[in-house]
Amino acid sequence: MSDDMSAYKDVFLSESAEYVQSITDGLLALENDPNDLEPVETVFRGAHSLKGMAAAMGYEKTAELTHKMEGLMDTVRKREQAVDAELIDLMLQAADAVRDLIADESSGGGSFDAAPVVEALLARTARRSEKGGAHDTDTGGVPASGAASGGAAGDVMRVTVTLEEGCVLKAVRAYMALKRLGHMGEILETEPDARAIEDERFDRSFVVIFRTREPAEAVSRALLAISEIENVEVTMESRSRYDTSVESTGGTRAHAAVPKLAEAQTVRVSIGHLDSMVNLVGELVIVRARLERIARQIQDPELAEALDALQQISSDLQHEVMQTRMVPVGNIFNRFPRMVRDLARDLGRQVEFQMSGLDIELDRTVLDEIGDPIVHLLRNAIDHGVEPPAERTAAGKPEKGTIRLAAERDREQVRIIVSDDGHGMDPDKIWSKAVERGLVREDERDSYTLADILMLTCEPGFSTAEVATPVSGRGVGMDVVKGKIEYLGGSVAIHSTPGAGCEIVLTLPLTLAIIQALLFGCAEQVYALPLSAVSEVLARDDVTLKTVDGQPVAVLRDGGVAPLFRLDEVVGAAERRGRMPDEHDHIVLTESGETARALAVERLVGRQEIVIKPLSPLFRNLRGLGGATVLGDGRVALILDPRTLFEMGV
Amino acid sequence: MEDTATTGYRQYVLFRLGDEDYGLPIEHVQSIIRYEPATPVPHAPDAVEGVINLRGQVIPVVDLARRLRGRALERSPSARIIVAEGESGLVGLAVDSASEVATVPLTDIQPAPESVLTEDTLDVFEGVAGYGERLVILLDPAKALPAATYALKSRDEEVDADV
Repeated sequence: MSDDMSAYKDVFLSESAEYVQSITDGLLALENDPNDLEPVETVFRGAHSLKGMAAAMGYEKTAELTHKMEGLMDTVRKREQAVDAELIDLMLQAADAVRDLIADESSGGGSFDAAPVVEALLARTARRSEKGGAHDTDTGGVPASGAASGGAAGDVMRVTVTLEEGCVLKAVRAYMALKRLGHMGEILETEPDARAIEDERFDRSFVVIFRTREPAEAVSRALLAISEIENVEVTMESRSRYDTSVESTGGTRAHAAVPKLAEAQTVRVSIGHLDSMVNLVGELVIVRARLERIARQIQDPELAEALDALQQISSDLQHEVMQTRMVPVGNIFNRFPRMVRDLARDLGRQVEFQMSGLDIELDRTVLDEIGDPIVHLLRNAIDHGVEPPAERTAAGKPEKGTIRLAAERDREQVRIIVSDDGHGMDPDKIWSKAVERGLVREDERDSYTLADILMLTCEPGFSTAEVATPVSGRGVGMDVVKGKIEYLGGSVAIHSTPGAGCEIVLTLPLTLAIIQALLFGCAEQVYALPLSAVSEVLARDDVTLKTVDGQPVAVLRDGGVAPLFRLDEVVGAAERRGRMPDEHDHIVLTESGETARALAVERLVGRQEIVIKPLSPLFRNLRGLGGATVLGDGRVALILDPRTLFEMGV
Repeated sequence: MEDTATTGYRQYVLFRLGDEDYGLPIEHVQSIIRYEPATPVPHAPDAVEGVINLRGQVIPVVDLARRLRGRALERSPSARIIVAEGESGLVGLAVDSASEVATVPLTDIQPAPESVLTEDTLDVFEGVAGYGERLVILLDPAKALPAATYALKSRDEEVDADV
């Protein structure tokens, strides 16, 4: 491959993965509603685009395979084929083959044989009904250049899109419209320009100049399918005005197959660059804090002013950099429908899988880590949550179980909820199993709440190799899930209603690198507590303190009671605990998972943005610490982990 | 390490703990910095002094005297922290002083006399070598630098965080 081409290889690999994904999504949608034409179009378009891109990259086998997929979908599109389970399976298999083949061809090729799939596709294509036999599919072979979806052929249209009055997410709707048009042809120009549309700088309508082989009705139909689009007007434009520019960019260059919009608005950047930017911004924040400290000593108004400006710029910069690392959870969720479908089928379950909150964003580093834990939870829900159809019917439930995967944002945190309507978790069974495994003693039961008992499933060693199915039992992996989520600074909660299903809630921080924290002191040392865990800070006099069984508690405004700990005792010797706070202590009310606790601190330092630095693996076994940060004066402050803080040294 | 082994000598960074000289293979030493008090880490093993800020990175500091000789050392102005690279990342080793690099021929390295070894130091001492007037105790970096499991093995005792 020439240097020129290898420059496009990364783009091709990621773009092609997106197309394979959209083909898979389309097929699953089609499986749900075989009469829906829209997913047919999506799959057809996806195969078509892949064909062009693969040919441009010289991946001949991939181009051939996708060409056959396109051919088969074309017969479906023309209603010459019925959509049945066999067709969906074949196409899904072909989509998998495309992924493997691309991986193979990109690393030299030769080890993956796509011939059986190609044969199967051809055989199925040949089985079309004779009704529409006069049409032939595009047998013109694989195009030699990348100008597959947007070559010089086709009509130029002027598409005026008008959004509904009161449409809230105008930019999003516009983006969807542009993206859809990008798949149907080539976007030549927009009015206002792409940037302005992205920033919502338009009233209710915008114009797209667009070249396509599709008829005008198909274009307007596709756009009207997007919700909150009120009206679409398509008129023909004279071609000549746009032809010259197309000739110069089309032709032999590989990226001509990539929708123009993607080039204009996004740039793919390696994670390494983003990581080092985050680190640099982190250093900047530390130096800024240091300068601020010096400025307080010097008291020079000009310096103070310059620092104000620096403060503003650096926090904007920080915000921007963090934004670049935010990725919608949909990026990892999108592979789950296929997984759930296959797994449910293997296990003989009927499952309706629903996802929501796909546009909720999380820091890339967090997102990369939570895929596996979610897979565990989904597997558990299918294997151990949802009952087999017969059992469900007997219990008076619909045959088809429902599994939901939802993401929602709450302040500085994101919650990911996996729920099912299966038979729930049986606390008695869990308890006896935990006793059997030696995790708890039989006579301790009274001191365990229902929530505590459910959490026993997350204890290492709760579940052993007693696995009847190829899928892990509930429990196997739960300790791994909990460990991973806690490592990410999150927490796990389990809710279960026997007979009605269960719900597992993962709470995660938005980002790992920089957080808002409350700083307070104990003797010489300063500690930081993530602000997301702090619900209130009060003077000692404003809190009603009592003791329960000799242990101090704070009485909350709603009448609840929070156990109270002194910071100096928490970080100090275990034998000296349970004293009341000193007269001038401040009371920090914390909330972690679903438990409220109060922390008495000697000295409040303030609220500050801190950069989280990992602690050496030497401290891996210590509870209560979430990392460390460097203060403005260069000293290190430890970051307390709100979930395990109160178990420190116990 | 292969290089130095085949050429028949090995280089050690020399440092003092009390009145004894020790050596750590130079390839494990990243830098030597002036001693600074560390931020104590609650409930950490007692040989761990705490953590310091090394150019934006937070690294643990181990009191080597406490680890090897069982008692904390008194800090003088000559005290240093040797920043060493262990299997669990960078670790600072607090020592009384550190100044020289010694080139020791492999043939000069003798096994440490067994009578001086204790349970704690048995694994850690690689041998001894005469260097000028001094007898240098050579450390096995893999054993002398605390590994992640070290925290498990040590007693979970108080660090003076509560003063």
